[in-house]
Amino acid sequence: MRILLLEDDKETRDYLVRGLTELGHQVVAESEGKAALARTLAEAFDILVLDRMVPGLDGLTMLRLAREAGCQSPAIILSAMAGIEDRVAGLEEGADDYLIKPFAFAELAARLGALARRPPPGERGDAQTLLRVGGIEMDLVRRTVKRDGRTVDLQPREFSLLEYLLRNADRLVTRTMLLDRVWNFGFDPKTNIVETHMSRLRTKLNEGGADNVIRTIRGSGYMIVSGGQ
Amino acid sequence: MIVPRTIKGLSILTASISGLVISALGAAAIFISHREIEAQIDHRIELEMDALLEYHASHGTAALAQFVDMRDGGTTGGTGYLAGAGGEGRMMLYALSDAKGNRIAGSLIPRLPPDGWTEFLPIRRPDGSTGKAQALGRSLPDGGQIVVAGDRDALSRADDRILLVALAGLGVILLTGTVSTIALGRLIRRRLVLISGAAQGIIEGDYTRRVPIDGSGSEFDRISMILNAMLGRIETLMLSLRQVSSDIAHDMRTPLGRIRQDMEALMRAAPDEATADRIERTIADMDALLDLFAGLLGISEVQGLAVRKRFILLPFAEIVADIVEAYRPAFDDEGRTITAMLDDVTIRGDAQLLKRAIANMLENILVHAGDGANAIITLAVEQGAAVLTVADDGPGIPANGGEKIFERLVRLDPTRSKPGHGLGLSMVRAIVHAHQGMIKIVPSSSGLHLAIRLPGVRAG
Repeated sequence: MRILLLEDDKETRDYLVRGLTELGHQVVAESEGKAALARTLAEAFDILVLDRMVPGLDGLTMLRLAREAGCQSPAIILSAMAGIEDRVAGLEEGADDYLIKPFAFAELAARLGALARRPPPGERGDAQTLLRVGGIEMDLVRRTVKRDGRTVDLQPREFSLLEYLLRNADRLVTRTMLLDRVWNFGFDPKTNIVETHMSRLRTKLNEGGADNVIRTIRGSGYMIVSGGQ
Repeated sequence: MIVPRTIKGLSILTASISGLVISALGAAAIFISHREIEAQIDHRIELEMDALLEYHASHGTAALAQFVDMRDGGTTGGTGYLAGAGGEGRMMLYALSDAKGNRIAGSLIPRLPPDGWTEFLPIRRPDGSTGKAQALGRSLPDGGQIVVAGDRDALSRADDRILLVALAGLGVILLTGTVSTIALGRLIRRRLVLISGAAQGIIEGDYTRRVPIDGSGSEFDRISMILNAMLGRIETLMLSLRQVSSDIAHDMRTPLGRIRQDMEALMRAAPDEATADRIERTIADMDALLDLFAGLLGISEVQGLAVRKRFILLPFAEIVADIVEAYRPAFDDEGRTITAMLDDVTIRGDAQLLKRAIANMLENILVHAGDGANAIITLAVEQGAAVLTVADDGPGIPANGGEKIFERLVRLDPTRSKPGHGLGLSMVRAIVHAHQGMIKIVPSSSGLHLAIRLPGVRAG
């Protein structure tokens, strides 16, 4: 993916460029808002990663101007501004995700993956109605799930959880991403909400001695692997 | 002494005092003029009597009788008192009797009084009407009696006129008093509504609101200018507080971000599992500190009430049910139950904040209510308000715990060893207040019962 990175702190910028390049992305890094806006309008990027407090034009204003000029690339805001209203303001200005500093690199990488897989706006109408990963088959219209042909009975929230994992198959999905997208929690509960639901989902999927299809990535999150073990 | 505290009370008091003063002035005027006129009539009667007695001495009874008949009931003149005011009210009456008491002259005094002064002597006027008179009787040297009387009509007329003037004055005073009170009340209310509107705006988090000034230079304008100066100061303080918060956030989080990056790099390069674990624990501790910091700032932010501008109508029961379902497995895993009985109600609010409040209360039960304590959640509509109760059947909190549980960083666990920073219920209370609601502890025989009352829009 071609990623535009706007970050004024040199150490953080170098760290992110190195990390994202290692993951195989092509990163264009800018340290100042106006230059980043000019770059965004002149070139095509698959994703924008914007720090909020940068010299020149702040990340949010830069994003708003880019959106007004017709830029539709998904954008993720990285910010030390961690208030409730800060996050709302970020999403209202056209950001697709808001990650508070400091963050784990794995979290950023996972969120970038999920953003990149989103179909562009306007094409969501003809989204697929059947998700099939490994031995799991999910019918989004009839809201049924089968594992190796066996019907699995899921609670609504377990269904959403599995759907999100299937849509992001082979990619790391973090705990906070699931809280955000599946439960729509804009905060971090102290209880292992995700873990408790995940263990129920696993139990149901694995009934009858099937393989554990949802992998836990230690310290980071979960992943469904399409190729089987 | 009762001191009025409302404009209405003050006006009623002022009008009452004015009315009393006017009434007293009227009564005094009537009393003084009454006495004065009475004295004048008496003086005139005495003058007349002296003249008649002298006339009798020099001319005899027959001439006096002729004189009396001529003057009886006629208007007089020549004495100066009440002269030249037309015929009204200055009638003089006379009567003359012989030694045997037989009437010799004068017909308008039906019953002759004894000698000396008689008040309120009945009389008949030449036109046939009756009235009362002041009368003076004197015995003549021949044994007869002469009576001179003055009609009191003038007196009662004067009384009536003064009374009328006093009553008219009273009426005007009460009328103008009432009208000016209403006008004053309106004026004050109009300005106070502007002031309270601005104050309400500030309370709701709009720090740019100011009290309008009409340039009249009135007391209201002056107090409004002072209030505006105060509001300006509040705005400056709030803005600088916000600025400081975001500066701290930036200045603290940026280096912490770098530390975290270095730790992650170190963890990847860790020579063994034990080192990696230690680094991971350090990162977790750092995240916990950030979490505490974010929690404190979050409570202040909710207390700032700026969150209110995003409030929308929400299906409250659905939100509660969502959170209850999210936490159900966590309760199940510990062999505890969570029960919810929810009535539909729509409220105005912010879904994220309400979710956070409910989640915080459920987590409070999970962590602090004790082993095996179950949760019971109810949502009901009471008197137009949504009442959410979150209760557990654990051992409850110590009697002296009370309202303290809503304070920041307060933990009733004296060892402070249980997870959390003691911010959960403070955040709940801040969120409830932002929603113009109230939270209280319901006394109960077992467990902690929290009741939250939020203004509800309607039952679903």
